[in-house]
Order: sequence, then C-alpha cells, then structure tokens
Amino acid sequence: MPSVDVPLLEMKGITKSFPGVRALQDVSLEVRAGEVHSLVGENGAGKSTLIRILGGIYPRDAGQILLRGLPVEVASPTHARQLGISIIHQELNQVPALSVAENIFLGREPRRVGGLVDWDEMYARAGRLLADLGVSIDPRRRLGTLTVAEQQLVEIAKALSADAAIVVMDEPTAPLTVEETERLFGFIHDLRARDVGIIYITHRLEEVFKIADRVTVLRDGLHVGTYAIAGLTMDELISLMVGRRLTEKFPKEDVPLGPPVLDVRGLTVQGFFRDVSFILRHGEILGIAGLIGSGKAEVAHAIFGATSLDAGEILLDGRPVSIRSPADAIALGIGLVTEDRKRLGLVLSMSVRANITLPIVRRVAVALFIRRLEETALVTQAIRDLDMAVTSPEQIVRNLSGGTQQKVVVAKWLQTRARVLLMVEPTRGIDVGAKVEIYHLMVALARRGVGIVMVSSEMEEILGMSDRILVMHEGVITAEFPRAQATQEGIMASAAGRVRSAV
Amino acid sequence: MSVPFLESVLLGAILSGTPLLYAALGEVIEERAGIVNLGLEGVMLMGAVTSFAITVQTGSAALGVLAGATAGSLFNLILALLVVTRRANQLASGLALMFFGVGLSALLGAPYIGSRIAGLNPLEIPTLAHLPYLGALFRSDILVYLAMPAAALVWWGLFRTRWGLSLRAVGENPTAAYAAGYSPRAIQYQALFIAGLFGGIAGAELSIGIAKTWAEWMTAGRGFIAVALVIFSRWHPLRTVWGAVLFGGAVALQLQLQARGASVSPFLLDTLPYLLSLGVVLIWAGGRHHAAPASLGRVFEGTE
Repeated sequence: MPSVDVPLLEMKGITKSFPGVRALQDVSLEVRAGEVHSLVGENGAGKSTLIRILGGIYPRDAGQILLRGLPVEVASPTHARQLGISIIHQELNQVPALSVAENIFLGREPRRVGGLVDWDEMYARAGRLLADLGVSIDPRRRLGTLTVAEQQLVEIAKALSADAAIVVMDEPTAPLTVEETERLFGFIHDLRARDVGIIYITHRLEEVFKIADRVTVLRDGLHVGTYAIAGLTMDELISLMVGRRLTEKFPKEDVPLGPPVLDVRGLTVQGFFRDVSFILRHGEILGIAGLIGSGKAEVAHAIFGATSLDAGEILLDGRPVSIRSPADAIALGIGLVTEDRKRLGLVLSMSVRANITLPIVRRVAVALFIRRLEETALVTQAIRDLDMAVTSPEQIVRNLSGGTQQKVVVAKWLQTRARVLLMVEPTRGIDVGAKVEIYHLMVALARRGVGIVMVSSEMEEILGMSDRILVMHEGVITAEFPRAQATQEGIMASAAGRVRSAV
Repeated sequence: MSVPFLESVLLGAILSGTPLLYAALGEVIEERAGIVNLGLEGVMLMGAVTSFAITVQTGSAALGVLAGATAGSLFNLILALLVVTRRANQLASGLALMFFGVGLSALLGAPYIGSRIAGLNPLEIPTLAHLPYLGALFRSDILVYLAMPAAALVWWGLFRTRWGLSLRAVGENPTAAYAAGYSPRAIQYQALFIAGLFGGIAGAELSIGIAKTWAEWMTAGRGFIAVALVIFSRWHPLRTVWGAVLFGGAVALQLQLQARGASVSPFLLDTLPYLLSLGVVLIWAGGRHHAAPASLGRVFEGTE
C-alpha cells in the first residue's frame, strides 16, 4: 500500500512527439497531496501537451504516470475523471448554447431511469455549487450570455464539483478581475486544506509567488527543473524560463513628446462610458487601467469606429475628424491591436504575408492584381524589423505562437503608417520573452512619433510602460497619474471607484 | 374563392406537409449533431422506392413503411461514413449523396413505374371524419396522424434525455463533448441513422401514402425544402410543425391553382414552394445565426 510520503501524482520521463515536432522529452512532474504546484514555461514549452497527456487526451510515446505510487494508464478524458483528475482547460470545453448547469454536468448528468436526466436535481446541484463559490449566476441561463469571467467561474465550479484528487488550472485568472482572482485563491487554499493536489499553469509569474509551493519549469519540451518557491526570486524564475537573463522586463525609454496627435473630448457610448476626454501626444504611451467592465476597452473600440459614439468629438493632429467605421480610422492612420487577436485581429487560416498586407491591399495592388514583388518586399522587411519567428512569409498564422501572432498584428498596423495605435491587452496570453519584445516594439514606435494608447488589465505593464496613466471606473475616468507618481495602490483605489483629484 | 378551394388547400397543406415534417425532423436531429445533410432528397427517394417495391412485393404497406425507413437510415450511413469517418466536406458529400439517391432509386424503381397500389389505408376516426369541411382530415393514413407526435417525440429526445444533451453538445462543440467523455463520432453516427429513418418514412409517405405510385425523382425538391424548413424553424422540432404546414400549404396551393386552371403560368406556380424557401433563407438566415448549432458543417478533427 502507498505510504504517506508517496507523492499523489508522479509523471516520469514523459516523451511525446507530433509529426515533425518533439513536444516533450523526458519531462517529469511530481505533485504532493495538498500542494499547489505551478507549471510555467513560455508558449510552446510543452505545458499544454503535458496536461493533455495527464487528462487522457493525448497518448504518450514514453514514460510513466503514477497515481499514489501505482502506475495508471489514462485512456480517455472520462477515465481521467474517474481517476480523480479534473482539468480546467483554457478554451476547450465549454458549450455556449447550453445552460450553465448543462455545462457543469455534461458527461455526468444526474440520471433517472431510462436514459433521462434528472433536471431538477441538476439545476439544484448547480445552484448550490455556484452559491458555494459565492457567485450569483442562474444555472438555467445560457452559458453564452455570461461574461468571460463568469464563464471561467462556471468552469471552475465544474472542476470542483467532480470531487477531484488533482485539479489542473490552465491560466484560470486570465479573464478574472482582481476580486474574482482573490476569491479563486481562497478556493485554492480550501482545496489544499482538503489534500487536493493542484497544478497551476499561468503566465502571471507574480501569482506563482503568491500561491504556489513549488514550481516546475519547462523550456522547449525539456524539463528545466523543479524548485521550491521559497528559494527563488522572480528574476531567477524568468531566466530559467527563457534560458537567458532578460536585461530588463520593461524597456521603457523616455521619448521627447511631440504635439498632441489625438485629442478626444467628451466621448460617450451609452451603457459603456461617458464624458471621456484625454490628449495623447506624439511619442507618448498612455496607459488606461481599470477593472473588467470599467469600459476601458470600449473607449479604444469607439475611437477606432467599431462602436458608434453617442456624444463627443475626436481631433487628430488638431483637426476634427469623423470616424464612422474602422475603414475611416485606418484611412486616418489609427490602428487597433485588439484583445481578441484570434477572432478580430487575424485571419488565422491565412499566411503571415496575407495578414500583414490585409489593410493595405489597395496600396500594393493595381486594379485587381496584387503586385507580389512589392508585397513580398514589404512583408520581408516587416518580418525582419519585428524579428518574427516565422519559417517563411507563407506560414499559416494559426501555427504561430501567441507572441509571434501579436507581432503579425502590430506589423499589419505598421504597414498603414499609423499615427495612433490603440493597443488593448497587448500582451495577453503571451509568454514573458515575447512580452518584452512587444514592449521593445512599443518603445520603437513611440520613438518614431506614434502615439500609443495601451489599455491593459496588467498592473505591472501599466506601471512599467506608460508615460501617463488614466484609470477608469464604471465608465468614467477617475484618476490620472504621471509616470513618476503612479503607484499600484493609487491605481487600485481609483479603479475601485475612489475619485482622486487631478494632479 | 369558394369554400371547397380553401378546404382543399388546408387539407392539402396537412397532407403535403406530412412528408416535409418527417424529413425536417430528421434534418433537425442531424444538424443539432453538427451535420448538414443536403442528401436528404436522396434519402427520401430511397425510402420512397424501397417502401413502394416492398409494398408491391409483399402486399403489406406496413412492411413497406418499415423497409423504407430502414433503407433511408442505411443510405444515410453512407453520409456518416463520408463526413464522420472520412471527414469529407459535408456540403459536397450531401450533394453527392443526393444525386446517388436520385440515380439509384430510378434504377431500382424502373420495374415499378406505372404500377398502382392501394398503399397505406386511410384510417377513419369516427364522428370527426364526418365534420363539415375538415372531415377529410380524419380519413388520413396512419403516418399523417403520427407526424405531430413524432415532432413531440423528437423534442423530448433532444431536450429531455441524456442522449439529446450529448447530441446537442456535439453539434455545438464536439471537443467539449469529447472532453466530457462522449464520443462525438458515435453520436453523429447515431444521429444520422435516426435521421435516415425519418427521411425514409418521409419518402414512404410520399410514394405509398399520398401518390400510391412510383415516379422517378418524385420528391421534386422536397428534401431541399425540408432543409430550408429547418432554418425556418430555427432548429427546433416543435416549430417545424408550423413550418411544415406553411410549406405544405404552398405546395397544396400551387396544386389547387393549377387544378383549377388559374390564369397564371403553371411553371411560375411550380416555383411557389421554392420561392418561399428562398424567402425564408433570405429573412431568417441573417440575424438569427446564433440559433444554428455552432459547429454545424464543421469537421471534427479529433483533439490534435
């Protein structure tokens, strides 16, 4: 029988290849009961593959999985669940058209005789689960009508409902607000007290230091090492992940500011934000902070013409302009790097080349024909300028890492010679190495005189990259901080609604 | 217009609507599982010819219906093989299935052209059958009576049972269904098998219920009307009932106008149900796309 000091889960020597790629080579992971074990690594390091092997989605090529000291074969997702392994995938397993309760219990619905679902029982149990989590969501609502954060909470409720011995959380806090994140950490503590082993995957390294006991670092499919958090600093962890020391996480430089490039006055979109005014100068990076629902992303969308304004005016280089559609904005030299790059920012099934020249097809075309030589020259230049990790301009965007995809989005806007770049969550879902490259890019753009509005939920990035910071709460600007005076506490307080007199 | 005219249009609507309803119910099941079946026309024809041939051979219309349903579901499994197992494009596979069904049914049905049979007997419901105007409705065959209960049964199956929940999950997000422990491929096979039963019954009602004869391509596009009807009903089995009456009404109106020698070109009248189909797709297709199963028409590639 397994003794007390046998780990809850051991994965030993796990190796997995996909056609043409060695995804994992001799990777080990050990999780003890009652431990929060963080799994970190850049995108493509093999975290997801390892978790999918644990969850019975991929078979492994070699290696062993031991559960409480006994070897197991995880044959399928169902089998994984029977073994007590519960996985909160990032985007895998939700069905927006089904109800909240149906999503929670899909595959293990409370049953009645004759293949029937015990609907009353199902809704009652879902209601109790959500209430335990402290969220007030009607289990009968269609999942698709919930916010992303609420959907994430439903996903967590689903994992917790399974009475799991091991819970894997893959970037659980990405869409969550600060309060929701705190609440989630509370549950993780509860789970730990119940001797559940938790594997916690995140790009937000500060979270690793906040809740993890140990961390396993993967790089390029290899096991770099497993470390106790207590003996590790953030810088050490980052250099373990990227395999080199990053000179500086936020390469912000002071760029001499030019005249105002974007001047917005009294912008209002009913139901989202009202009376938003600010001035952005050439070469300036203006950060806009705020909680989810504060309307900060919608401001960027409205300036880009993606939603129509109910009131307010926009001046570009001092001249009033009318922006009725994204086409108007692009023509005026405004670009938008969206928070949802996979859906709105890129055509995933098309090549790097096609994505980069999409907004300027007319410029490189004669009548209906695209001048391939000129197009190729532009694209090659962009790939070199942004140091994109692509094998060829014809590579399909879907197959690129998040960081490289984001570079393609930025490259697209560079082609339009944008004067103003609106960047919403510019580094969401991007690994730490690529983040720094995006920051370098922002500085380079600012040096060229581009005005950048950076809307972000990541406090570090707001503090690290902005010349000036606006904070929004429930659709209004509640504070403005120059770079030198910005503090995390000050921004948090304003984001929570405390109005601070202008500096 | 005279009362008999309206009466016959209404009765015709129910009668013509019956095969449409069965076919559309099958299509709802398939599309809820994420598969568009443009081959429904071929499935109906296979059901029609098989049930007719078996009825002629055995003299039993009941056996004919059974054989038609079986033929429809087996024929539909060809689509399952193509789009589920071989992961072929659904639209192309569906059209190929349709033409295959047209050709094969013509071949199998050649010896039966011109034969006439008694077909399904009308069942007279006492007293109701003697109502003024609507009495004829209660002298219909068994499949007409069972059509609406069938719609209710499909609703119950899709929205009340575990099987229905898993089927809807597959149509929305097969990866999620897989992660929840269901087999999307097995469920899609089941959906196509059952949809084939319905398509086969629709064909049987056409050949041995209504026409009581066999003619090449006798469905004349009804399979496609049924596909439009599914969009009209927004993938809900109970709403297909109204759609079937509406489309059946268009068919009946066209037949009645022609029979009475209305001064409109018969060619124009022939297009009436299809114009209605076009109109439905035009009006409904745009704003209501959220009603369609999210993974409709997509190929489930596994989890790679």
